[in-house]
Amino acid sequence: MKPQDILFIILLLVLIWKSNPKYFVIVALFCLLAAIPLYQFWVFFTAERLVWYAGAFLLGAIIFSSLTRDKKN
Amino acid sequence: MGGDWRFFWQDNISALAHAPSAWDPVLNSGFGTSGLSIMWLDSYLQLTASLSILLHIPWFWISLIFWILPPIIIAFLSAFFLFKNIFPLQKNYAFLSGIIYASNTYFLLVFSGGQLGVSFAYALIPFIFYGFYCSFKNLSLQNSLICGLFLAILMLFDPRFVILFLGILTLYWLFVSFEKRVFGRQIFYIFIIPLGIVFLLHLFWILPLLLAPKNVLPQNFTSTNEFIFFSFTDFSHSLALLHPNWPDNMFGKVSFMKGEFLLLPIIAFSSLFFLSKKKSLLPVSNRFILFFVLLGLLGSFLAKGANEPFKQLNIFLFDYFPAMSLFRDATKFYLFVALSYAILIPIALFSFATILQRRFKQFSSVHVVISLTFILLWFALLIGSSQGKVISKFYPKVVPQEYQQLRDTIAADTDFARTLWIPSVQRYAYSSTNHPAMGIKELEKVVDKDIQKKLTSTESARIFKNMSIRYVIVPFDSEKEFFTKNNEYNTDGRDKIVNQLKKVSWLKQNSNFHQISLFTVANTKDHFWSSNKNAKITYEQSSPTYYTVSVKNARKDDRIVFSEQYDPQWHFVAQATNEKLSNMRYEHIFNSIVIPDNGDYILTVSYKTQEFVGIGLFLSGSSLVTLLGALIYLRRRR
Repeated sequence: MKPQDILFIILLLVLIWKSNPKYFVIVALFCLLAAIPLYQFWVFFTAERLVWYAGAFLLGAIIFSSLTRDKKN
Repeated sequence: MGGDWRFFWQDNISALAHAPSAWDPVLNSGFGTSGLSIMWLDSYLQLTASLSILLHIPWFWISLIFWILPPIIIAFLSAFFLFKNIFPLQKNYAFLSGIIYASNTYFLLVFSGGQLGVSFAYALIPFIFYGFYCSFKNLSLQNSLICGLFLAILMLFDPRFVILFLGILTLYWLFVSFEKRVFGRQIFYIFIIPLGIVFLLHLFWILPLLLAPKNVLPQNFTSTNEFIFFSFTDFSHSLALLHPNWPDNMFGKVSFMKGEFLLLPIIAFSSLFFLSKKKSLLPVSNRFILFFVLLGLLGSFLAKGANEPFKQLNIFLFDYFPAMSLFRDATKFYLFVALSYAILIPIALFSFATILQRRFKQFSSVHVVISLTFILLWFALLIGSSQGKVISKFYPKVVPQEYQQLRDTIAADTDFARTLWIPSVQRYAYSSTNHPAMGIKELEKVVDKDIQKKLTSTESARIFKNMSIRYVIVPFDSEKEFFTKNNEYNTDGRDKIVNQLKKVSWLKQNSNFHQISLFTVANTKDHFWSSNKNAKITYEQSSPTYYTVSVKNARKDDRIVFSEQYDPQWHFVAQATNEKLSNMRYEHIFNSIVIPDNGDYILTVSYKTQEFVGIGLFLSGSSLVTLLGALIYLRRRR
């Protein structure tokens, strides 16, 4: 497991604990934004990893948004 | 237009202008094959070919009006219409929706690659989605019938897109519109009626497929190894709505990920910030937005195929999830991403612009500025990355003069004679009912996989003559499609083939051609022939599935051979006695009968499966008339 994977898991756990879908979205978009210059400079491995993490955070955003709306309903 | 979109000579069109046929002697085969596998798409081709013949309009114009222009126009209008009707106050952004859906890299590559059936199907999806969206809001027979009709039109162009759409629909139903109290009505009006309509309207090919089953998928189509082999996309490409083959569109040539395309998912998924708490900017529920976010994410995951992350899950789904094995080319799931972004990006831009406008009231044209900025960004991404390679596929081309000369040479031959192309049938090849064209790969599949290596043998000469192969052609590769090495044009392969053919004693090279290498075979057999040289055979073809054959001076035990690929559905009946003569496989590949007695015979040779096509056509036609009548009646009653 790479260091970035460990960071990702820690961040994911923190976000799950916070349970705020907006935080998931912010982190996901940040990962995508950070991946852009990495692709430009051919740092493919980390860039690709960041996109995977973004996908996972977006999934978290969907789940927590759905649960939050369902609770309100 | 290049790629998979075939070039047809005007003379070729008459060979296509007929009712749907269960046997395909010329379009997708040179030796004949079952026509059931893509009858759904061939029927539209046959319809448009018939229009060209009946209305005396050149095929060039018919193909432009009915094949080439509609997908790109419909793709734009379809997304525009969907967005405009769901978000009526944001009409300007509907324009963006149309642009995103009709000019993303996936659609542009599919369209420029000549996959017009897929392009048509892709283009129709937003229209059909809107139809079902309305149907969910108002469950009624009229809405269900209309949805069924459009779904049937979608089926005409690509049944796989019907399956993809059903996936989208089911996800939408479960995530957004599911209501326990009307569960039964939803199932009935949303699924049962429309699918029933699709089934009835497509009976013309479904019925023969059920009653005379054929293996319609190519060998190994659903194998896991094929799925893994065709998985060229990675998650970054799919999430960025960037086709992995952009812009070269060459099989196997995958481009590096272009980071700037990640701006698209950034904009699209920023719509999640605008999920309403109290005062909504948008006239749809949060679940509606979340559905499109989920759709985009799901599409990105599925489009990556057997690549990380979690590739084992993709392989598992391919092997075990119903219908997933039809998608060995996982890029079809780009449809989900395109549809998602066509909705989410305009929503995000509108929401952002509205907030800006509220904050900075003096900027009244902020919506226009935001829209124009995005359009500039969009086209900068496309044009900057395409390097002119995509647009060059639409440059008009002139058919090389030698291909026109070849067409004249072959068309002037009034005998039935096949052409064999090595390595493959070139796009400007002439073919007709009298002169079917086949590639060497088809010959290898039917006769012997090593036949190209054994050409010097007398056995090969005999096979060629019996199969009526009179012309052997090594094409001039004007479009640089065949003779390539490491994705670069290279004539070494061509020279090797020509030198090999020159050594074959029974092939005579035609010196009138210089770029094309044309060889002829002497004394080839006719479409129907006999081992008895004294027997006189004449025949008339009424359709691809019906011949009347006259055999004079036949002797008992003479064999009459029908030079089409053997299929037990070919039936031979002696008209005088109405006696059915048993069709026997001859030399593993031909159809044949044995004459029972001395004398003259008039034989009816027919492909039995065509009867089911006829029944299916009648049922489909009746269903269509009934459906249209019901819609008119329901509309008037309202």
